[in-house]
Amino acid sequence: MRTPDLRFWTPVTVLAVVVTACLLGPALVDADPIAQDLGNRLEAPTWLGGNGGLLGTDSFGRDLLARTLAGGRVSLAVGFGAATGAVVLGVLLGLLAGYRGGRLDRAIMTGADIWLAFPFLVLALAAVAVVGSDIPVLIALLTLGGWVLPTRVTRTVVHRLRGEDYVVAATGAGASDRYVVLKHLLPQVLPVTLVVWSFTVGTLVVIESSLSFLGLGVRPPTPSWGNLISDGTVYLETAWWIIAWPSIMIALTVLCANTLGTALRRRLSGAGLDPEVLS
Amino acid sequence: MTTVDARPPAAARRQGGASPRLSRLPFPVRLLARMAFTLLGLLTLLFFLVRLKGDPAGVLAGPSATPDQLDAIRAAYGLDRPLFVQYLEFLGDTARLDFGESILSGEAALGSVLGALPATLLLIAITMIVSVVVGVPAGLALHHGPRFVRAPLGGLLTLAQAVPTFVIGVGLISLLAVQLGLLPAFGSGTVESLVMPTITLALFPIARTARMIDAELDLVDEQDFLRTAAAKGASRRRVVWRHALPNAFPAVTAALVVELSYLISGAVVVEVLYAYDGIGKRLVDAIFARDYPVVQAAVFVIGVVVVLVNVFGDALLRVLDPRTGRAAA
Repeated sequence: MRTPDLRFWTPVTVLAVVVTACLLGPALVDADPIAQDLGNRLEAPTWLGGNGGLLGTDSFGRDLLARTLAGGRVSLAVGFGAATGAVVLGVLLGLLAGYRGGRLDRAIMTGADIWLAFPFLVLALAAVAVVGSDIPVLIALLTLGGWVLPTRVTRTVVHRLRGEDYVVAATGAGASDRYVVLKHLLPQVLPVTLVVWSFTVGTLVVIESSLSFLGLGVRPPTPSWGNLISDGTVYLETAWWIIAWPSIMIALTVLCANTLGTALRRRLSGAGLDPEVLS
Repeated sequence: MTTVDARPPAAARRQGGASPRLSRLPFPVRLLARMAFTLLGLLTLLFFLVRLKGDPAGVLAGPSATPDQLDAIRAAYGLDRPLFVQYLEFLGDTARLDFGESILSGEAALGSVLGALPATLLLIAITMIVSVVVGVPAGLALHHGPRFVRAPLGGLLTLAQAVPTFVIGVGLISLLAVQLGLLPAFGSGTVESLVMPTITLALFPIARTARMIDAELDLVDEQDFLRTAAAKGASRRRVVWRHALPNAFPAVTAALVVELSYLISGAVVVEVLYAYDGIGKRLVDAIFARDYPVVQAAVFVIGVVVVLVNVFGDALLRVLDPRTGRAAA
């Protein structure tokens, strides 16, 4: 028996717990995340001698356990949704750039360089100012915030594979582009994609919460981790618990996403895939 | 299309981008062309962004405008003319650095944004300096330090890379300003008011720099020139600082340039959090006030700063590591 790889299973477990808790939130907690109870404002958690339930209440008397879980739903939906979109977009562009090469390759990669040079949050703020910040808009927007890394990585992998004997042989034997891409390139790209996806989730959860924190992301009363923290900053002296829980959740999620990415990369490089691609 | 052709090695492509025709031009010309191209792209993006939702007059006037008011705004801003004409005029105005007046204050939009630029640049410059001054020793400690230093340091760095800027900021406010009363929680203009924003913004780049130094030292660890230096009797300190460390400088410089976009994004959050009067705070304030001339001017100014720093960084890289220039040609 091999001992389980803790550096891989710890983040997987924690992420699974966070996601499950947020998904099942309404079923687990009978408090309403939006219902106000003004007689019960800024109550400390019960274990601190307050009357605010397990995690306390906010300035409108709303239950923070329910709000943290409901906020997680929104933040995670945006983070995971946008990361998945970004990876799909990135793999398509990366395959195109890496396989076609030439002028198209240069155009896509120059675009990626330029895109990365701009502070994405600034562009996102300008966009949100005009088109608003409904959740589908946020997901679409953050997809654009994460496409560069998967594009670069896919392109690098495809570039390297293109010279491999079996790809050359398949092309020489008359295989169509479609066949080569689907049969020979994509299966090799996908595992690496998983690593990128993991890192991208971390990045995008941060961007979403930053937008919401600034008041330009997910709009109240819909809770998200970012706007929960923004609500709580005013009550830093009197009710620190308001910002504590969403902060911990964001940190935990991003930390786990990053560690998971690192662990996956280590596994891949063990399986013969070049880790340098991702550095 | 050709499926198989000879490809230059990855290192040669690192600079990528320039087409073969362009690469025959001298480096400064190429750089200028790229600058102009990038800014044009940004302007186009800005132009169409405002028109993304259809009628910018509706955006400008707000949701409660009457049809008459909308017509008046369309006429006043020239929005009743063909899109292409509007686009050219927008480019022309930009070339003359005319973004119109702030809807709120009535002063020139560009002027009000530029007034806040030095504060932001100061914050970012100090953050970069701190990230190198703290990050390099941290990276050395991570690489050469004793085990009881390396393990907790690595954990700390991972944490610093995972926790978002504003969470660190809120934590710092509650600790340093509210609990201990050491530093002002808000404001700008004084030296003390720079401390917390800088710490908040610098933690991530410090961690990045340290990790990078560690990785770059990994690459040279077993190389002959280090063994030769040691064999010639150079002290361990001299081998590390004089022979090994300089190999990491190009990578760290390149990372600082790339990190600029992260730092500007971070500065927006940090400025709002600490009520620090910089360009990021002006941008967010303008967005809340629907002051679109100021929003456009702010995004444009940030774009110019990014382009200029990238150009400067490219040039600096060539000085630090002559190989990059040769490899790209």
